[in-house]
Amino acid sequence: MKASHKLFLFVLVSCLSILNTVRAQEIISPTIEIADRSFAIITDRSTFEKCQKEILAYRDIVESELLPTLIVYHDWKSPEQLKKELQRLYETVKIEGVIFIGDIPIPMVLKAQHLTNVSTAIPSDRFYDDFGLTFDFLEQSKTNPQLFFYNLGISSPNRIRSTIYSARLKPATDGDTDKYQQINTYLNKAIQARLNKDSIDQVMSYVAYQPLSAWSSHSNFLEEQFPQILKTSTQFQNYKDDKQRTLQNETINQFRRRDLDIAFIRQYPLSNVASIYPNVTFTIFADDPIGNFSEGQYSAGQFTMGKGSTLTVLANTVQPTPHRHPTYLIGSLGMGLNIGQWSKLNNTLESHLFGDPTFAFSINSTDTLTRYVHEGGTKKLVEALSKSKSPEAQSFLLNQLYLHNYEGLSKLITQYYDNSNYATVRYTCIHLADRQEGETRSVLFAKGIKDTDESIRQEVINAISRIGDPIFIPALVDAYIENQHAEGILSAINMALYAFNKDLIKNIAEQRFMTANNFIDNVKAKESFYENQFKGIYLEIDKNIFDTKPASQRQGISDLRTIHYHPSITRYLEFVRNSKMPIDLRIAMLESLSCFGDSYRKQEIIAACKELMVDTRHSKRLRDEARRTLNNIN
Amino acid sequence: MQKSLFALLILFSIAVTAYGQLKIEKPSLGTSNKAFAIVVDQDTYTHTEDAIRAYQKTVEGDGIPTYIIHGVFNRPDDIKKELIKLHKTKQSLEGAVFIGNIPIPMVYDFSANSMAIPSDRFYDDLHLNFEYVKQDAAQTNLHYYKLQESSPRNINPSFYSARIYYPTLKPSDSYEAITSYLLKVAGTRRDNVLDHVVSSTSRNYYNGCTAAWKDEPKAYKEYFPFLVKRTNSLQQLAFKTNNNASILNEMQRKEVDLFLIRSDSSPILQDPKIKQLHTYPLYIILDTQPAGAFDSTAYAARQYIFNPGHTIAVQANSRPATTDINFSGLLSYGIRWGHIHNLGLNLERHLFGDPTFHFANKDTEKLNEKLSQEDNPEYWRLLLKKDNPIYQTLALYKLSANNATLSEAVTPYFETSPYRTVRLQALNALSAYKNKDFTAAVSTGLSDEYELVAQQAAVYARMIGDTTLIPSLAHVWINDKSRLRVQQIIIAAFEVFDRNRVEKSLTKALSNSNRLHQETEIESVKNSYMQPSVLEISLEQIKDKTRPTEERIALVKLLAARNYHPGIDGILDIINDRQEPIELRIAFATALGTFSHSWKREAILLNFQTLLKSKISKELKIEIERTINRLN
Repeated sequence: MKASHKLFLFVLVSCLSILNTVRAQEIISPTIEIADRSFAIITDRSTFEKCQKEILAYRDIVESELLPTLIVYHDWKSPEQLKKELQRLYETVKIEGVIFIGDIPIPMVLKAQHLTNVSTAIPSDRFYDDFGLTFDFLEQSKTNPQLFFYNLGISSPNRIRSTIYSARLKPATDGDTDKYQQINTYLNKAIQARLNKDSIDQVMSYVAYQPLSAWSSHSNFLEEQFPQILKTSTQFQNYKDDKQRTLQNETINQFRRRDLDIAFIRQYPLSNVASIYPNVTFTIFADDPIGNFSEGQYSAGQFTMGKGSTLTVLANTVQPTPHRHPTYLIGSLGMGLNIGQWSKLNNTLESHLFGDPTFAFSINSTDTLTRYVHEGGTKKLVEALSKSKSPEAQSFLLNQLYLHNYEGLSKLITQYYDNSNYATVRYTCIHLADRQEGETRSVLFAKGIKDTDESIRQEVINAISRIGDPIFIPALVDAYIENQHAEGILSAINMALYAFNKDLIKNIAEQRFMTANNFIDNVKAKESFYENQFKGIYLEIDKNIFDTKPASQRQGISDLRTIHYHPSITRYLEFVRNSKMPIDLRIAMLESLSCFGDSYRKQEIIAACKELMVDTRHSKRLRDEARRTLNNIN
Repeated sequence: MQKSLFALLILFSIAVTAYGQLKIEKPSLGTSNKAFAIVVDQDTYTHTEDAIRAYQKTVEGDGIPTYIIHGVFNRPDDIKKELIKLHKTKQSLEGAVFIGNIPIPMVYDFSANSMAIPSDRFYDDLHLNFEYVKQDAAQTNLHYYKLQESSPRNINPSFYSARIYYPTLKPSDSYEAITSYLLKVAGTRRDNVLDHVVSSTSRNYYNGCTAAWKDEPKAYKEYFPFLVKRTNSLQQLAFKTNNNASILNEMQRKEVDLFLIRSDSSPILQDPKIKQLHTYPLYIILDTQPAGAFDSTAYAARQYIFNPGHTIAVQANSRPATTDINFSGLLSYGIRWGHIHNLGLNLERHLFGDPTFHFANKDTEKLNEKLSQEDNPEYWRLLLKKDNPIYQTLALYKLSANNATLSEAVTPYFETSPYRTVRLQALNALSAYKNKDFTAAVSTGLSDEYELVAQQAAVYARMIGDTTLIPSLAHVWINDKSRLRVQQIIIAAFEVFDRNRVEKSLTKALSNSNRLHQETEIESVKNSYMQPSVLEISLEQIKDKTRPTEERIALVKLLAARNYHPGIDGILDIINDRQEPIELRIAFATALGTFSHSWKREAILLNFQTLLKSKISKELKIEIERTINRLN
């Protein structure tokens, strides 16, 4: 008997056995045989009853593309209950992803400051789809019983790597439209979308504020990722507001276009969504937190579920960390990946899909990636890489090799970095190098900070400030000298240098500015550099932390999450050890130190945490926090 | 005061050496390659002789036999005579450089009633026939010329030329500056790879269109294939109205090979501060006004070559004119700057410095040789087949400029080339044919992914006025809001068409869209087209015989300046009308000369041919012939 048959049987059996148990979840098996993967529609009992016909029809259309689909419905009591079921389905029927339709408990995650930008609770389905993360239950909300609060587990991994993809179909409750009606309407729309499939040949992008040269680089990325939009200008409408005109209203007209495949939106105040009737197949809202589905009314929901044929939206539940590359590997959508498969590669704690995640655009590339999504064999991936022509296929395969811990990766990324004329491929190499330690990273960073592409330089500079090793100071000062016309880079350097010792910077700058040949007046240029660099709140971090006023101290400690000031790590650790300090501040300091996971002095923090964890002179709270910090940075 | 003093000085120096003999020193290099001529006034020669010889040796070291011609030149014709002689020899001439005080031809533009332009086309385009008008009374080195009626109008230089000119009241300063400059050239290696480029263009250049700014480096990547892979190898300065600090800083970078400053109005470029500056980019294309006005002693271009920095040459215009940089790719291959400068040349564009200079030779086609030879269409056809945007751009130019190919052969390069610079050149090449292929290319070009092609197409659409272009214009207007500059040109272009058709097209494009405020937008289009336009009214007014002649002439000039194609038939009727005053008919004929690319051009020409066969006054006949010339 083939393995797949066994799986199929198992599902049947489990269904039958479930029927005997009251209040257990109901499972409807796929109508097609499960080979190597499947998909699950998760819903609540009432939604299933009200929307049964549409859910089954949706299941059929997903299965029409040979993705076996289960339907699981239940009155879910807690996120844990559902997660357990998802893990079981993953083990038994290899679900690659899920869609949550209707009333599904919402996990609210705390203590994840090192993974995100905010310290408030974050509505996050990473609880469900990243099986590696662990969580400690805090409480169920009394005002909204759908919300379940958790701390990220003390020994949870410190990065996101979703095991499966997930998406939500959660009606925005405005009181007018019946929520089940909304779901039915949406599912019919999703079915319709499958019948009119198209390749990606119409893309638009909107950004409100961005330095021009950074915009230029980002535009170039999208053009490399979707080469077929370069046939005529109307196929890539690329908007950036400036002093002379704003294109916000035109962006609404773009949302309404019936032929637009993907819209990539930054800094867009999405208001009065109901009147837009958007038709874009897939829209990415890269930075505004319009996806906060813990609220009854949330824009991403209105956008997806409202009138108009829009299928799927990617949005954040809270304000995301800046400097992310929200369209990393997005070109793979033109090579056979479905939206869920792509978004999983790029997940953060706050990023969420709304609507159908199984939709895949028609392939319009000579490279097809479908069969490499679930390929774990690095030999096959390397072979595919050597044959792939398009930049985005190369990037995707390099990224897969990284995910599968390919041991020859260092060599490969060095080789691809050195030889590729594509900025996106070089970016991928730098991005992956950031996750390697040692020689490869240093060598690629040294090259990357001088790359012709601005996004690549920016990526390196941000990484350098996280690492904080003073050996990078000369590269940063040189970069300052060479990037006089790249506003975005100059401000990245400015932020990065706050993480280094002022005197060390000066020592190097004195010498670097004297030999620079691109200033009419080197001394003046140097002075203006000092003037801009050595001022502002981030120079005051230590002064604040070691102040006597708790408010200042708190401010300083919190600023450390933005500026990782590596030179004072010893003093920060002293601060934590110092029992004369208020316990809240010591814990806050540990929380901030948990953002130092990439620091070149990480080992010192680890050693201190190990020591604190077992030192019973400290309170249990502090010891626990030390354990958490240790885990977060390790 | 200063000007006249200067003129006096020149006069004085001429008087002293007026009886000197013209002397021609032959090249010392024995080769059959085409020759180069150093033309230098006697005083400068006397004081810079060693440097001139060093320069001659350098140019000859680069394989070009070099003459030195020195003497006293009273009029431009004195020099031209010698150049013609050399050009006619078997060896012939590939270029010339004018060192020191060489008479400046001031040429009246080919169209009527305009100011004279300082132009060395007098010297280097031997196809043009000039008529001497006068010497400038105050500034005696200026000599005015006009084109003879029989002269061709298009510029087709016989060889390249450049100036090394340091106007000053103190001749010793000039000798010193020229000596230092020539020694600098002699001491500069010609194997420098073009691998660092800086570009500065002010916001106004693009009408503030960020999409245009963003697209520009895409063309640079085609022009400059040998850029090093480093942050600063291609430096596009920020998109500002004032780039003062950056320009000064970039001028200091010793690795910069080419600095493109186009339509940059940064005040620093006119500032005395730049005079003390050492500039290092080897070649500067300075399209700012009036950097190349060498009839003025203070012309800005000179500051960049006469300083101890590394700059060898500056290209600048003597009067405002457009600068086409689409041949810049040839710089990367080590083609002599003079040869490249000559492509698509106009009256205004001039090279200051050594025109024989070039970057490291990377060319596999021996283009330096090919460009100095007589044009051979067979060769350019072969070159066009090479999969290389730089070669294709040149081949397209050569084939179209010499009418050596049919538009059918050019069209595929416009429609299918993956190279932006090739599509741009193909569009420009097609403009010479003024036929259906051109109109079709313009229609497609409006939504080309390279902004400059779309922009150029929109400009051409206005010049053509063919109503078949309206739907494409309306489509781009509604669906391509990302390009501010194209949008601006299109909105202006709508006025050159029949308004009913424009209204219908716009309404249709809006109805086919799914725009949020579709209904109100349609309403607003209808409203704005309800009232007749200024041009429609003007057309009615020029027909009105009760109006004063001057007023009707002013109105027809307006219609012509605004490319109002629907007015052409009405204007022709008036020209044909024997009852109309003759000066009115002549002025109306002149006005039609601006419709050189109009879809009604054939109709105008046909009408004129008929008219020429009838009995008309001599003045009208001359004006009609002149206009036919401009339309062709």
